[in-house]
Amino acid sequence: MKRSPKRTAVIILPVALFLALVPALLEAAADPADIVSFDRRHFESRGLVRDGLDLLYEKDGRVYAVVTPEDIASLVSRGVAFTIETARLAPSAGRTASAAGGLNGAFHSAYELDTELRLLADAHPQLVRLQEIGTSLEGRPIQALKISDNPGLDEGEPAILFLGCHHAREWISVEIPLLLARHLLENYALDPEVRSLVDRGEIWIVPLVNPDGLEYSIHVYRYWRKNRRANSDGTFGVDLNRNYGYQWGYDNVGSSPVPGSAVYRGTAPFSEPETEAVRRLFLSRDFRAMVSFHSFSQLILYPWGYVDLPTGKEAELSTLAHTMSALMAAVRGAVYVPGRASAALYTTNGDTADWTFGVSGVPSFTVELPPEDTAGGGFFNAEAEIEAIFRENLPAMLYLTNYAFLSSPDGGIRPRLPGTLRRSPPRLPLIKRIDRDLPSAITMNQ
Amino acid sequence: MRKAPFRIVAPLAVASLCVALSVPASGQLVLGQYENEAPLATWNVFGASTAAGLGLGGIRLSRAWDASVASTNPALLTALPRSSGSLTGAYVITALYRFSAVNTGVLSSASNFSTGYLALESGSFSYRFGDWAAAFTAGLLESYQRPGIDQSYSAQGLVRYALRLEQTGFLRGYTLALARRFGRRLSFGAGLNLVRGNLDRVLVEEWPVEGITIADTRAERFEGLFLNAGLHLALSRGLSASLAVRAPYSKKSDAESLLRYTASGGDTDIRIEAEARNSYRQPLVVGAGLDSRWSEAWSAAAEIAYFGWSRYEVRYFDEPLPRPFRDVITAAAGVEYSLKGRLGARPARFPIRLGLAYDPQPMDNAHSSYLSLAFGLGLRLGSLAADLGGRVGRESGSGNSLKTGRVALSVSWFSDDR
Repeated sequence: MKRSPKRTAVIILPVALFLALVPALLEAAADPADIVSFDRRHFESRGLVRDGLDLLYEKDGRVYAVVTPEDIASLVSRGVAFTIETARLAPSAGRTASAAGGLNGAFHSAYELDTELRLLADAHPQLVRLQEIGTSLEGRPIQALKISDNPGLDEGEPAILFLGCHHAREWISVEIPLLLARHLLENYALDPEVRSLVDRGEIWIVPLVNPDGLEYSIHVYRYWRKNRRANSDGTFGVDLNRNYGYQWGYDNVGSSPVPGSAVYRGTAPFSEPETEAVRRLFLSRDFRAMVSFHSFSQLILYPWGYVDLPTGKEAELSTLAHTMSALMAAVRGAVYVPGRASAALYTTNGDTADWTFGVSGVPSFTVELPPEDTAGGGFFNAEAEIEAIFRENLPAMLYLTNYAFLSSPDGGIRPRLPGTLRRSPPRLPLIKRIDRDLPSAITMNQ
Repeated sequence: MRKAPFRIVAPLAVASLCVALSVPASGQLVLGQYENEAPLATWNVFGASTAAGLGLGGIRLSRAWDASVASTNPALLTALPRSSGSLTGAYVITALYRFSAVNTGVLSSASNFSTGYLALESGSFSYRFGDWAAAFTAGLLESYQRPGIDQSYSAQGLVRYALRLEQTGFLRGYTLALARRFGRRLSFGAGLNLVRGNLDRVLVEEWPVEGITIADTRAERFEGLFLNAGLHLALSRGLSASLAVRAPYSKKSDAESLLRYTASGGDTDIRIEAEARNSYRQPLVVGAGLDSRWSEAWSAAAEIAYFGWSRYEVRYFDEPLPRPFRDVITAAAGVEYSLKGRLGARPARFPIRLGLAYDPQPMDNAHSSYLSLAFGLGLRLGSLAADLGGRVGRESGSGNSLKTGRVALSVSWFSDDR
């Protein structure tokens, strides 16, 4: 049967249209774009504005741009530090994890944090390893970042540990250690101080110790504090910051045996998988200092928390805390009051700092982030304050890291003023030197 | 780390704390039936229901009660008279135990809560022309309401703390269906369905003395589009078989949220606002049924329906939410005896119905199911029909022994005697 011209056109036209569109579709598929961000100061100092990048906007001290794979290759070859933000800001472009627009706004949920940590690890493989140190009660990974110059090797370097979000409602305590990780990775090539720290030791960051609690705080009840243990009496949750093993259950003032209590300590030390994960990590490395972030009150607390008595290192801990407080205040005037936990706030037993100090003697701090009081927001922080709170904590974190890496394993300490670094003299391999008739001006290296 | 000094964890006005529960060995929370988006009474919703079908255990895809079959098995439209119309109203009451912040760690009760509604549930209209039939039906498919919680704690004559939790919402479905009879035995029908609804949730905490308020409000506006289809085959004079399918679809919502902290003492007003396009992937539903009439008075019907919940996915404010669900099969069966009589001078029939229903819920971590007993009465008087149906059920598997009850009244009009 002869086909009519009209019928032929009906068949050909859509085919032609499809063929016309195919190259455009293929082109779009072959040229994916990413969104990246740069630290504004570096963006300006490196003259990146002349690169002709597709600039989007500037926010909180960062410049955002859309880049092609070729742009990325160019940036990498020139050693320009950047952070890939695609998954965070463009939900349609792969695994979605928007920390800007969900129920939690600019604060990270467990899902968003997990995605961002993976992105950081993928973007900086030469500096970071992502390690799952445990699994929460509800099956969520508890992730740790190891930041070091050879992250895949065990070089026996000193380490420092930063922890966040033992308490679910303290959303800001996730952001500060996370931003520290990003800062270290982005500034390794640009900032000699950062480079020195990363080269000399291991910086371990666990931004989220309590993922189940955080998810409940986001989705169900904002002021949730504990983890999501279903207790035998029908209540829920163990206070993870009362579940550590040093002087656990010392009294019923610093913690509670009642499951319904906000400070319920659990059925046994480290009964919770979240604290057990931290315990295993801390005992596996040569940690020289620990900071656990919490909110609120603007305090820098050190042991003991379980009893209102000084430790044998009161002077050292007090000096460190006061120094960090001064560094913080120097940024924008925020005062973080340093003090012994039991005296400055109230007694707590089974908390993180008491345990890490109790088992190892290393400087251990609980930093209570802003605000100062409930009138200022309590457990709420404005999204716009996240970056500012990080910036005021950064000098103190870098200071403590440097201090930790200079301390010796037996606890001997050589205090350093902030901003000064001194490398230890190099150690020569063992050589039996035989000299004869040495000039008097020559001295032997140690 | 700091405990909020004014946070009162005090006995609530409703009940005392600490229900002894046996919990899974894993020690994790098992929310059970009532996620935020869970419909009241059951997850397994398939089209509109009638009072007559309710009285027979929930039969809805193997017998042509009225034009509302357009939303379940539109093939049955060809079995209706030339034109028909119907209205159904229902009273529903359901017990819950664990939902949102209730009995999940924040608020505790010693017993179950109940909530329900009284509503005009559905209206439908059909018209048959030759071998074809068309119908339109609109119905209340799902309710998302929860018991309202209003708690406060007072000391020294002052309200120190107050908490209010409210959730309301519903989903309505609109079906436009077409059916055709092929020969004397076979009918096929298909329908286009539009669903629209809303879900609103508010949780407000106040510390009046300190002047602090925390408000967490969320609002969703649902919409969805899907197809349903069905077959009806007369196997013999008194026996017929039916098959119905509802295609899987995504129920989407435009969602907004506002989390706000205000403190009058510090002039503090912190807000986190969000907008998102949420999606809830609804399952494939396949149902099959038999309808038997072995005498003028006696008849029976039975149905099973498969709900493919294992593919249920939720995307909520740009995040996938875990929903460990399993596929389930529901079952319903009932018997009807139609009494002949007269109402005034006019001949009338009075159907009496009894039925049973088995309704397993899809949660994989808490195998919970309802077993219900159903009953019904009807009146057929010329072109008018009225039916009253009821069902009471008890749940097992969750440990809370939840009860559910439903009473419905349908009034129908048919263009000629049935």
